[in-house]
Amino acid sequence: MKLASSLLMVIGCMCTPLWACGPDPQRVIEQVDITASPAQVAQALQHAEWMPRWHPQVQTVSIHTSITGTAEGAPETVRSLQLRNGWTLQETLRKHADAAVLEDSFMQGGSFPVSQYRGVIRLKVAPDQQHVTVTWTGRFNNQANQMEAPPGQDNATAVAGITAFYRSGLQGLKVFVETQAMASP
Amino acid sequence: MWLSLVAHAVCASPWAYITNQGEHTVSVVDLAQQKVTRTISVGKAPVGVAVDSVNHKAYISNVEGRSVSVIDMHSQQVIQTLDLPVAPVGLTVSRSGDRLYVADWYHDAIVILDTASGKVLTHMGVGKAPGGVQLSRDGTTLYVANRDSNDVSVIDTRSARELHRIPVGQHPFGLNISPDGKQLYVVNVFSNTVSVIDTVTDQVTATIAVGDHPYCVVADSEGKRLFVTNTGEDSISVIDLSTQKQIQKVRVPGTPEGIAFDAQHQQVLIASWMDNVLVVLDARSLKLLPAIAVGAQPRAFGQFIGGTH
Repeated sequence: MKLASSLLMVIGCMCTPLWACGPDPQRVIEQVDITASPAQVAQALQHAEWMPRWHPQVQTVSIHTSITGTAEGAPETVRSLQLRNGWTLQETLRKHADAAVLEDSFMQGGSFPVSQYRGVIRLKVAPDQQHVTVTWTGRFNNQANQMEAPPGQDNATAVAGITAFYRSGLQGLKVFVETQAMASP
Repeated sequence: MWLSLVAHAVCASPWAYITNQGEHTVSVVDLAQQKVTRTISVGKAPVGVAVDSVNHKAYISNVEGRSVSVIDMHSQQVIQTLDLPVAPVGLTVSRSGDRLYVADWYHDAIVILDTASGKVLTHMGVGKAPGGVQLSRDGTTLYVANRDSNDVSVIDTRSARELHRIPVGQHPFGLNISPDGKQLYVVNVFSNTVSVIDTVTDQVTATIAVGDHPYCVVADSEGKRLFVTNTGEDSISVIDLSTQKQIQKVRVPGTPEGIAFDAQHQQVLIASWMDNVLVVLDARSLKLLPAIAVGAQPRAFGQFIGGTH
């Protein structure tokens, strides 16, 4: 992934979450059709630092590399998001074996009302190469990681939070790529 | 799976019972026709499956419904619902079908039920957050993967007493036993490994690296290969048991969870939770065959294949 070198920094510790995965994971699937080439969509997503420009909920983004987060000790990329509503989300960005997967992230921490969250953004190209369908899928547990979670940390809150994040993000991505916004500095 | 293997030897048409968490149903897949022949409504958010091919019953754990649905495999209908004061996850049934063992995730316990009466016989403590359960081939030992205490409980089923616990990797979840019963395989979700346990000594003899966030494991009918679902990277790890190493990864549709071996057709069946399909993998060529559409968010946790005599 092409990253702005000025944003790279090594952080000392990105702790593994202590909670266990619950027995009742939740799912959100959202998608949008974008009139653009696959390369244009890929470019928008691969520039992780551009996210505040296309995602209306994202206020700031920072990218770090962590050398302690993986079992092998290999460096991994961590993205930290600050949302406009005050929520935060730290995710490890991973490579996926499928080239159609443009983003595969796993939650490391933050106040976003979910736990054990994994998000995947996949691209499907129309035969004419001028249209793409972008699908964002999420699997996660509620923030409390309990079947009978308190309000605000329950399944409904988690699903609503991810659904709104995906919908507004995909619409924002569509506008960003289809208009000249991406080309502007 | 022992029951499944027996069933495969004597029945023409095994079925797969696939729990669909997202729509509270079970898809019954005819494995000869490779298609869903019935969709059965069960309790809320079904997860686990156990098949009793002797008495022709399939047991389904409904984690949010706090119940177990009992399906008659002749009529393919729910004939009984056992309400339990627990959150059931993994479950397995004795060889004769008289006892059902259910993991109670939230009370760190195993529930033992009399299947004839539906009554709870024992509610016994094990490690923290028990998920997967597996009986020994002779049925005298029950192994329980305790996810939050990072160990496996070894239970004497005759006395219903926990004998000891075997430390494994971080967050064990799915379990399976070799066809000869000599090895137990335990998936460690956070360690990205499978622990191999000698069932005579109850010692871990090997730890095998697999993919990201593995969930479930199954051995083939000859005990030569293991197949492991990697939920975090959408793949199946294929392990050669003679070298105890991963020999191949097969990319599959999103978030593979439950896995079972269809001995009759020499195929591996995998429930892909994100994409609502039962993936079919040819066990010899390791090529994917056409997937079978099932219900929403299929999990199929446990040995979900069985047939009628």
